Amino acid sequence: MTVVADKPKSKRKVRPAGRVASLRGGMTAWLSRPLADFHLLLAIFGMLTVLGLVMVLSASAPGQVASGVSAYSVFQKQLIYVCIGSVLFWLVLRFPLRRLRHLSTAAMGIGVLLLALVLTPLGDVRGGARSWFTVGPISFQPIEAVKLALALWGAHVLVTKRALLSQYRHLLVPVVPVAMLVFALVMLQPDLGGTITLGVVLISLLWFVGAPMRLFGVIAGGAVAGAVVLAIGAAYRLQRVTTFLNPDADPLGAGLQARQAMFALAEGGLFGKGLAQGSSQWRYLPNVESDFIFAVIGEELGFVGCALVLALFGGLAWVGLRVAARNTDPWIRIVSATLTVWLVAQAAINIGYVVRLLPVTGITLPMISSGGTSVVTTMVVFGILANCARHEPDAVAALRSLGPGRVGGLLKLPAPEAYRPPPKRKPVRPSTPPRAPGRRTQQLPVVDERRMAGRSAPPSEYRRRETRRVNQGRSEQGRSTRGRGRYN
Amino acid sequence: MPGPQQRGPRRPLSVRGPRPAARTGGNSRVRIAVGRILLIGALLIAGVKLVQVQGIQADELADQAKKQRTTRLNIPAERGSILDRNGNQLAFSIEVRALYILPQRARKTWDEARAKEPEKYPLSYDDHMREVAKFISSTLGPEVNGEKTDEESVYQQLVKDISYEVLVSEAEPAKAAKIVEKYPAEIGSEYRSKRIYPNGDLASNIIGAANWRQDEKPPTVQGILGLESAQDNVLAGRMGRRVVDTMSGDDTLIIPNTERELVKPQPGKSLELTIDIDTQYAVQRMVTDYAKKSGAKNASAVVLDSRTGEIVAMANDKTYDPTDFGKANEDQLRNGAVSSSFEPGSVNKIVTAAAAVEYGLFKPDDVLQVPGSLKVADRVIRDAWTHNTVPMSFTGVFAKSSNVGTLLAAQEVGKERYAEMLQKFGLGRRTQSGVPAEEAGVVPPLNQWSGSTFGNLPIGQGLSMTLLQMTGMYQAIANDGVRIPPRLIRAEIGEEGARSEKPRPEGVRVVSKETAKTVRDMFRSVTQSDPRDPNQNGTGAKAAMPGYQIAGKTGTAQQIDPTCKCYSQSQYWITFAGILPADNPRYVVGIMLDAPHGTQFSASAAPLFHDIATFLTQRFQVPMSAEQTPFVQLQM
Repeated sequence: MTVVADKPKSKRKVRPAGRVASLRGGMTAWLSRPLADFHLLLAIFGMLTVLGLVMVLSASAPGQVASGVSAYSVFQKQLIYVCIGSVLFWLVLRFPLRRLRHLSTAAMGIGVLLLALVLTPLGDVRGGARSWFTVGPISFQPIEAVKLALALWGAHVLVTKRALLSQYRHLLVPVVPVAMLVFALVMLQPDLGGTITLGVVLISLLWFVGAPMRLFGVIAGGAVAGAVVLAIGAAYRLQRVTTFLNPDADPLGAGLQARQAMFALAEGGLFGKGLAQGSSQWRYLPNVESDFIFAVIGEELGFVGCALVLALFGGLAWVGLRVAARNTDPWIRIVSATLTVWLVAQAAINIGYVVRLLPVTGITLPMISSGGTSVVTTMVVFGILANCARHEPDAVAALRSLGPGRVGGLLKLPAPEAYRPPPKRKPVRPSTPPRAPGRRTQQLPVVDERRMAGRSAPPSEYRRRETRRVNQGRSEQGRSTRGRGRYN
Repeated sequence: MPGPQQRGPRRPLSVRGPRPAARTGGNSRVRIAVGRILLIGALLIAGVKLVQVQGIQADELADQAKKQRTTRLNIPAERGSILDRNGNQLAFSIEVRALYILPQRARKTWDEARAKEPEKYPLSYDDHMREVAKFISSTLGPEVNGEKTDEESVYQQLVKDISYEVLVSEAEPAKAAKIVEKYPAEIGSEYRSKRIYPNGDLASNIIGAANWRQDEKPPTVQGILGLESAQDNVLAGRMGRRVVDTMSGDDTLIIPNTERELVKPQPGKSLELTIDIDTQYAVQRMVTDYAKKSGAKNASAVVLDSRTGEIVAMANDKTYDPTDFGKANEDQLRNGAVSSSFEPGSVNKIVTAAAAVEYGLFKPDDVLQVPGSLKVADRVIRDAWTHNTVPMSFTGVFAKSSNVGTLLAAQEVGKERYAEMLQKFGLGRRTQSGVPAEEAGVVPPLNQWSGSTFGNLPIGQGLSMTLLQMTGMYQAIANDGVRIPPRLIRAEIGEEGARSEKPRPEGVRVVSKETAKTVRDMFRSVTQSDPRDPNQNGTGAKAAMPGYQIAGKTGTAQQIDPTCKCYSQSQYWITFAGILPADNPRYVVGIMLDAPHGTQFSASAAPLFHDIATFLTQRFQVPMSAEQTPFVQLQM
């Protein structure tokens, strides 16, 4: 789906096939615009952020007042973290993905180190898990950063070794052993929710890198066995499972949360009771502003609100994987797909246990649940996803030829680099697409020039370069037409 | 995305490139599509489950949810006051607060908080509680209504190893609020109502007592004794109720905008009594004094308004403190004026007098030849003093309280008419005065009379009545022959002073107006005294008051000796009933002394009547009689 390829399609929209057809045509046309994914991601990101802040305020105020502190104390904290996250989001959006990829190895190393350190007395115990670092007024969980690091580094390693991935040895080492080390460190905290999210990240890495189906069969078997072992291994986890299987056995003890969540959802009905009108936050539902915030959404905004949240995460799944599909850089493809799966799977698991489809695990609802590190990390992830969206070839072309656009201009975003396949690839891998030689020779000067201009090149650079790239654009157009269907 | 490498050595070089690429691309597309389907599918399944929870099961679950939040709160209704006839308060309620602590929980919470943030909680729980105790003690003072609140005893309560401890049950609301505001985590405050009896033991036998009953559901002030108990329904009012949603684990924290099903509390009505607080005080004091002076076991006095039958005062020598009634014994708790019946003795002779005059059998100055004794069936009746047959005026028979003369007159009246007259005077039945725990007294019905019964009843033996009944008989004579059943409660005062007067009970015509006047005039002679001729002295000369005509009757009845079940020769009921003033009656006073002995005051209650009557004339500014009681020849 490249710009040029879709243009004729959108022009054909004036068919007299009725309003639905024209609407669909309009949608298709809008969606096929080069920066559609970027803008959709920004919209989803913004809506989730606002919804999260509103719901955290609504869900936390009564409990805070009852404890004798300001009604806004949790909300204020959340607001501060969202501000930090927004700044990081913007920085990540500006950050060249190539450098991010290069930093990923170091990040993974630091992450593992932090995970090990948090188990020492340097880490703080909260809620029964030694998973926090506290430095002055701020505290954070290294696990959140490690999830991201694993996604970036894992993608980096697998993409780098992609020629050798047909051999299990190269497919699994070093990603799987490192991931297992991380799992072990996280389970020592212990943090089941974190482990599950890490597992999702690892599996989606392997999935999108094209690991054989057989491997997933093994992983599924291993996961079931692991789940059984873990469930039986700790009393509280076993209790969660038995509670899930028989929710009404202990309505005031183990089954309390699940039961109260059901109540909250049911009371919301179709349209909900209205913001701040819910009653589960009056200490009926423990952890209401973090793990179970979806129940409050259900109570105050009703099915409509829940459907909106589901739609936003569904939209994220669709857009995020579309970014992966539309990108050419294999690292970006895997990273964007993995990050999308991470966020959406986390949301699905959270919502799943709130609506009692899954046993309760302490996995938060991304962007909405209160919780500092989680929200900051999620915002960084959104930043990377949005950055990836800007690296779609169409977007790169459009940004480079037409300028940064309204949003990009407002955020002062630099133009993204086009993907340049590694030069070594051709001799080693005979399977490289035949178009590669042509592209390489033509793209090289572009990147070099881009490097010379530097990241802080003035916006006028786009225009200057425009003339220079007339030939290149033409050749690209021709190539895309030829190779249409390969990447759409 | 690169996939597993597909090697195809047999394929021409030209096709090798595109094919794996297409395959890789295809694989990648499929995997992305599968990822999409899985993610969106998971969300859709959650959505379906949501439809089930929020749509299909919603009502059932929501009902359960509502139930767990609902708290019914009772809104206490203010208990009515008890007022005297002039609106003075005899009993009223105030709001107080009970301060309590959950010591075990407070200690646990404190220790946990301290373990977490030692710099914020530098003191140990015990040291902290020392401070709390100091503050409470300095706020409340060293004692609140008998509960010690000095620092040490409060501290001991605070650190007890117990789950719930009430520190003070009757703290002033303002002070309680101050304490709870300072230590909200430790000290709790609870609504209580306290009954106040500003006059202490004054009229406590009538009013009774009410106090806070924590064991009631819901806890409330409940009447335990006397009027407080008998009129509890009127006084208590009806509790209001509201249904609210409250925070989990804290039923006092109400979720805003959830109040519903509001039922306003209905405050209790106040009772306005017929009692006059000053008279009651004076009479109570005098009765107590006289009981001591005369050596009586018990003593009671009743003052009735002769025109309305209202009980102006009703006093017993033994009373109790209503705020501490647990310490009172049976005698103190009893209201002797209505709940103990006795044989009235000569006071009952008024029945004979009234009947004889009513049926025109005798006129006051008719002369009777009264023998020294009279045999009725198997009994021989004598007078209190020995004499041979003497001529006595009909007035003199009663003024000198001649048993024989009375019986002669009674025999003229006849059994049936006499029995009927007893009934008209309201004997043998409760007066329905509204005074709690009233006795009916015993009057043998006519068909059960033995031969000697008619020799006993006219002289006030063989039947029993309460002091209130006895006084009521004289009220009938004072009120021109119409007996108005006595009453205690004058009006109920509802919300905003809405006063609903109790209907005045229907009067009972006992004798004609003329008869009543004649009897009154005859009975004036009881208080007659003639220093020259003791034979012309009435029995109750000490009751006389200068300036006022007093009609009355003394009585001395033998008590039953429990050892021999016969009439005792040493224990008597000394009674007196009098009308003040006789020419224009305003008040009727009845007095009963139970077995007085050993002093010069033991023989008669007339001096006590004199004192009470003197007080009444001053208190109510009773005009003096126009003329002195004319002298009447009692014995010829």
